[in-house]
Amino acid sequence: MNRAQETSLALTIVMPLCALIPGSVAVLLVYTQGAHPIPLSMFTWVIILGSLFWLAPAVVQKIHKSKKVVSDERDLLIYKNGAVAAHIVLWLYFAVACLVAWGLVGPQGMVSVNVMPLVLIGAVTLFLLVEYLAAFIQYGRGGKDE
Amino acid sequence: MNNDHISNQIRRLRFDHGEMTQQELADKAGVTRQTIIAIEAGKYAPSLPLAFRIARAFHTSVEHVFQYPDGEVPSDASKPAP
Repeated sequence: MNRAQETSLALTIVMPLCALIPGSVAVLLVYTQGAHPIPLSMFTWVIILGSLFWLAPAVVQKIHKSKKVVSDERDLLIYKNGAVAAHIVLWLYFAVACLVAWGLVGPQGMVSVNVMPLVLIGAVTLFLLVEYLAAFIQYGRGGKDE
Repeated sequence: MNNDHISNQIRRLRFDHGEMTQQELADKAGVTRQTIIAIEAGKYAPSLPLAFRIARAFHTSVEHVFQYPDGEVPSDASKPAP
């Protein structure tokens, strides 16, 4: 495994745990207790964590300044394909979210604004999960050194 | 990923060049070993600059390393450029 491949595997596992759990708990707290500082700070944590995930690979490479190549054009292509796949899934997710909400409350019903953060966190988590999972699948097996 | 049926002689050329390892070729071409593995297996078609760098690592021409089957024209190639 090269570093980009390891990153995609690690983020596929770690990212949903770090973002989905605090995000879901925060939404639950907003539902039960209203917009208190605790859920708001948890939302902030998720946003900061998401930013760190995006920045981490670039920062690590800057720190190490290794001459060994850790990613190349194929890695870039794999991540681009992953982002395209994630984009498609994101649209499907929003379509399903709208239809489910419509189906649950009916045409005359109303949806709480508290649903919006839930949908948003779900979208961010799903996008990153699909992107990294698609990247990991595209890498396939590492192969043998010859 | 797009491979466009491009065949290559990388394995044979590595053998001819003192049994060069995939990592050594990767270092010379400026890519990861996984990319060399994918190219060698025909699972990934390299960009033109990378193809030149690989050919240069073997001190030969791109045509000597990569081959495109005769008489096979991609559907996009017949379309005029915009």
